[in-house]
Amino acid sequence: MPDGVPTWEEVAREHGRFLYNVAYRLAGNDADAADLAQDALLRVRRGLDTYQPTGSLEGWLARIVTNLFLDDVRRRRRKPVVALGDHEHVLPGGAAADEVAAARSLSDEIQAALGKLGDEFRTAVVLCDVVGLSYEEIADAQGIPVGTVRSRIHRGRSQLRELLS
Amino acid sequence: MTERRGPSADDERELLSAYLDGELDEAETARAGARLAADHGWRAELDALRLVRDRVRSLPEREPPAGFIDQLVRAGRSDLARRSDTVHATMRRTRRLAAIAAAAAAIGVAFAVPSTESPTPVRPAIDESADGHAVNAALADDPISQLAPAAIPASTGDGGTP
Repeated sequence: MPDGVPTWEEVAREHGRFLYNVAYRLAGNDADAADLAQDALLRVRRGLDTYQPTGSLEGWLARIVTNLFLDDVRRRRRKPVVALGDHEHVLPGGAAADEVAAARSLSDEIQAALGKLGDEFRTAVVLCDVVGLSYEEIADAQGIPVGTVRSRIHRGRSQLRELLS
Repeated sequence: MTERRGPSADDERELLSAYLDGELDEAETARAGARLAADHGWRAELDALRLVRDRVRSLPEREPPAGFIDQLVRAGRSDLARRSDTVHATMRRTRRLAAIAAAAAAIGVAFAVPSTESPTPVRPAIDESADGHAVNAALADDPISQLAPAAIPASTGDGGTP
């Protein structure tokens, strides 16, 4: 194992939640998010021996889970299922009930809109706005030109704007 | 003659999201800035895109179900152990197969090596057998076999049958 590279178990414990969150934003439901996160961690275990910590670890993890998602979509042409009303563990406790309900409603609405985007547009938007990757990092992760990333993010946001208006 | 086309209106509008994200180069940033200063529609669209972007960015982290990470780690450990067992079993099987292959090769070599011993002589010798046959034929009044020149051995010279 190269120096400075965490063990697989450290990655699972420290970044498992991150992987799950990205997987959920891409897949749109908990069952597929759990499968994706688990598959991604298996890939991580195989890849850690050769991992070169040049970029951020979370960027690398996001790339793995995103590519797994797109592979799965291409294989199954699965459409994301938006699981509404299943957010009992999304928000921390203690907030007023109406605030919690409003926040859930808002999150559900945005997630539902994300789920209606084409897979490539959703992936670009999630990698940019959920994961926080730069256009160049997204291009590298997806194996596409930066201009295509720019186009997908813009079109994805434009569609979200219409869906949320 | 090929006419070179400039960027379409959609291409130009794609500048807006990249402008918002600080992903334009210097020349593109200047172009987008000039357009925004002059075009109210562009400014309205930029504001709308910013709102959408901020809403997505404000999504709370989706927590995995309780115990999910522990389950993943346990599954990973048992999978690692299983893989390790599989590797050891494969290595044992490979060693066994290699030993069998080596033994088979040794046996094959033993059969393939040409013998350095002299061939076992035919008993009785062919010439002796032929002579014996001729003698018998002569004693039995066989006209064909009598054509073969053969001396009648002394031991059978009494003219009787052997």
